[in-house]
Amino acid sequence: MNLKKMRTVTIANLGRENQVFVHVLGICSTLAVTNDLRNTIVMCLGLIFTTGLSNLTISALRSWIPQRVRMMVTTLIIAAYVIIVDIVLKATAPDISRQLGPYVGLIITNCIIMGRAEAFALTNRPLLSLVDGITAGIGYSWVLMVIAFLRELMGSGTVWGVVVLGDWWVKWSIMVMAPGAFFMLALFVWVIKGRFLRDEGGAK
Amino acid sequence: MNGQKPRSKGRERLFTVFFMFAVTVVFVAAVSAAQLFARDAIKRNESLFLKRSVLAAAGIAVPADGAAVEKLYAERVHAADGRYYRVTRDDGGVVFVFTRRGTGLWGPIDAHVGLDATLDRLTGVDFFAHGETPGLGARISEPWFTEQFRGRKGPLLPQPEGTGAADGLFDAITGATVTTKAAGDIVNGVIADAPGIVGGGR
Amino acid sequence: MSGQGPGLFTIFFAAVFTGNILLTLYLGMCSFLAVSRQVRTAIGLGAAVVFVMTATSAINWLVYYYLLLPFDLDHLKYIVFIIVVAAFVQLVEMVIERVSEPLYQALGIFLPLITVNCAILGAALFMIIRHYSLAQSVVYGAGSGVGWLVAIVAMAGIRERLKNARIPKGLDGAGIALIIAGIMAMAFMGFAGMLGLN
Repeated sequence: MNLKKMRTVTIANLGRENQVFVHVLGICSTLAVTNDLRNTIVMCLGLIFTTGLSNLTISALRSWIPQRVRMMVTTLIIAAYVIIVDIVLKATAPDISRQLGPYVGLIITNCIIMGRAEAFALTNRPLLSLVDGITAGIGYSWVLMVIAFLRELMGSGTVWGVVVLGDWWVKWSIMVMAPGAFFMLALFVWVIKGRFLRDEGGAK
Repeated sequence: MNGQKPRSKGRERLFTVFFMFAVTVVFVAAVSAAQLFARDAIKRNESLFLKRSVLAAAGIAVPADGAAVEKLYAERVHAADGRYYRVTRDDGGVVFVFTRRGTGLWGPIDAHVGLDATLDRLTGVDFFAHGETPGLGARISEPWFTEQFRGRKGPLLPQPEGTGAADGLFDAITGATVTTKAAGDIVNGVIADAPGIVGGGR
Repeated sequence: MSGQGPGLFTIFFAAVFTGNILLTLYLGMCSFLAVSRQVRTAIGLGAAVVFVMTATSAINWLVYYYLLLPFDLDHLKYIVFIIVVAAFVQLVEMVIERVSEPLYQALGIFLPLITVNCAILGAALFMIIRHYSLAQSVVYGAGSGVGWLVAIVAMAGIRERLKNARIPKGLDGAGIALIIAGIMAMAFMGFAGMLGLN
């Protein structure tokens, strides 16, 4: 119940050790779903849930997992949680599930979850690992939501499906497509690293 | 790790196998349990989705609430020998909705196409299943594309985006020629085959 | 298991260009951004990806249609596909290690990276969604792999050229790679319409 450690982990995961713009992980889904704010939030919740629980489970089992099959066991546990998320989505929010399509299943290969499992859960206690997993997910989420907000706004003129920019706004279709995603994320990384992480030396 | 005496190595291997087996069983069971638990809800959602699609293609306003959709569907839609649906409109008129599968760029495209009682004018189109490129071919699901078919008289020829607003034409999706053509073929195919399918019973 | 459907050449060409698994479907980004600084390593990883993707597409197709579906186990496909990929990569690693030491030295580190490459799982999932036949799946796997290879080698070539360019501090590394990827994505979109495709 070490609250100080939890606080340190939380702050790090949200900022200096952020999975997306510092460690450059989880990029695939960052680009794929951020053309729509609603889909993004669902994806983020799914990731937070999975990372948290998989960290918790793996940490609880960490002294028993044989070295040889370490990767397979962690992958299996992560896959199980992701499938549960997928099933729950199909049952409770089918239209979102349909829009996200295979990208929900691809959360399994999201480097963030595997990364936290290997870097943290295997060497830390369950409760702290749970916090690490959840906050790493939140760190990922806030980045995605900013990008999604901008992409949906500029690309479709809407926020959460509600038309915000009227007909006077010429929709930047490119924002809804692949190149827009890359550029938005690059811009985000540039702003954050250029202004806020300047004392880190920059060249990451 | 520490010294590998043959005996402890064997025991270690045995534990590894047992552990893998146990973990697999536990988690696969958890997943299967979730699946069993949710199976009915998922089936219901899928059937609801198809029902909404049929109603949309018939040109009937689709309620947001699932139960309302079920009620509306039960009242208005009668499936006739599985090849088409006979749907009653708000004003009592009859509409025919056909299910058709075409070939897109990446794979099959499934659509519900609705024609009015004369089989001349479209009442609506819904491309409910496809695997086309996101941002390009996948735009056949977008309202701006499907809405243009309402009330149009076929057969339809694709036109550059923005110039196809008249009977006999429709707006193509820029950059998605194959998918657009596939969509057009589906609609035109239904228009051509409809009289034969519906046949005598009107 | 559809008999009809897009032709094999169409699938291959579209998988490499207009529906590039990396530049359009965003899969395989992590290793793409990490291993794209040198052309030689990019070619190595890319070639390995092509091989693994093609082979596992075929294996996963067989497993799905002959093992999972008949027993109503569709919901386990994610787990099974990943295990197939992991096992296959492990197998390949063992074979290479035994057959050719220099090849193992060159490729060795890439193979574990491939296991977590979302593009491989992604290709398998897309082939299921699109109801491809076995032939179509193999071609799609090969095409996606080649598409990924083309993208990563192009990226490496560009980044090698940029080695001496003055890049703003905040963009160095991931930032500039993403911008290059964005421009490449736009360029690849230009293939739409070639050969009557999309």
